[in-house]
Amino acid sequence: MKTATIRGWAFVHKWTSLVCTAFLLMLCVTGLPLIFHDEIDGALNPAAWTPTNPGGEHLTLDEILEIALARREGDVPVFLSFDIDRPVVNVTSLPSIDSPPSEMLFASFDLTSGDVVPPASVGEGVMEFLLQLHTDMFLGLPGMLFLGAMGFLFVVAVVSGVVLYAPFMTKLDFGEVRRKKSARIKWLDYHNLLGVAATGWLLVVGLTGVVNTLEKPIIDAWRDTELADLVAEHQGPPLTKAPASLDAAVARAVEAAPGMELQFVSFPGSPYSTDAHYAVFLHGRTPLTERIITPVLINAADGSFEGLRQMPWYVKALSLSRPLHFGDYGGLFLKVLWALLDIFTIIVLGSGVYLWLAKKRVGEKRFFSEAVAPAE
Amino acid sequence: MSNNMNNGRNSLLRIFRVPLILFAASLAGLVTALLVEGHGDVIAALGVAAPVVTAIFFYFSRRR
Repeated sequence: MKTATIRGWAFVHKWTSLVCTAFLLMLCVTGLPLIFHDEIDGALNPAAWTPTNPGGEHLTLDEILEIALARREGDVPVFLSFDIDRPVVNVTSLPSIDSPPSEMLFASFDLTSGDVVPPASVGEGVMEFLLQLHTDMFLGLPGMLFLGAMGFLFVVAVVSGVVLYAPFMTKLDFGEVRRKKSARIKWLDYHNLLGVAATGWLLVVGLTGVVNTLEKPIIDAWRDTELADLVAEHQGPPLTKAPASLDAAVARAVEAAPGMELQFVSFPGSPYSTDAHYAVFLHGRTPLTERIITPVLINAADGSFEGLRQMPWYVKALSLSRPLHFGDYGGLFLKVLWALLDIFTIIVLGSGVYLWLAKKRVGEKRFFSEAVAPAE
Repeated sequence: MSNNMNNGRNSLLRIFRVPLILFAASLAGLVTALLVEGHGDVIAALGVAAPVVTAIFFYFSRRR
């Protein structure tokens, strides 16, 4: 590689890294406890909730809905969703369908008894704080997009780092750390070893993180185009009579999309449905398809099937980006690896700053001549 | 360093041989974990573990 080319890549690596390092360090540090969110919640709330009738027959969704609305007289249901690993139904309601989202009430119910399930309390505030900091730094969409830009710079820094790896390694074997040389050379070797070993993971987590920051624009685009088309095709007058059975509507939706199962229901008048339909959102059953949802419109007046629409590619990409970023899809072993690779990243970022300072101190020429020298 | 080769193409191949293997193992592990369940998760995690194990191995085995 020509000297001018190396200088060019070094310039890209230096500035993309320097600009994003502080934010990436924040993301790595806040991301570490978030990897173990479920385990931390479980440890902090040891009096784990258990269903009233474990293994008992489940109440119907209509019964749960009736119980939920009886607790909040006058409210209308907006969404109904399910916990993954326990028999719990979550009902979201509003005083009226036109009420602002800030007035939404959320409550969880035991499917075996209809009893209210208390929310996890200890530590939840801390986790929420960390998640918000990690997601948008409490700045909403601008914060998310800013972190997305930092993620993009990080990806460029990783790619330029891989390119620069070659000239530094021409006289070294893979994994060689020159411990007898100066501290800066030793840390350069650690920086290169950890960085190049983790390149695949760094690129995947970095790129999926960038995609995740586009969540709101992606979901808005889906709702305003594909989902709006589905809704518009079936838009009718608001429901004037009592809606059809929710259980029957869900059963009809599942029948229309074989091989899929229920994820959540959006009620008539809610943001993801029409004034006259249940929008039943189903997901696949394999690890790959369980994150890809398909909306099915069911006529709320008579429970008949009206339409189904697959997610567009960009929403599928977002759906697959979430697990690939958070590492929560392969059990505890994968989470531990995620944490170790996160720590690798912190070391790479920290050593990168140290190397930049060291290079400034000794001068670029001396730094490079030492950096490319063999071990002995 | 006797096995170093300074021929351009070979040198690049030598430099990137192990990183490429780790890159492929990581990606294969990350994608496989999305496609399989149960015991398959463990096999997928081994792919993701490859860079971690390799880095730790070289940290302890190449002390000079």
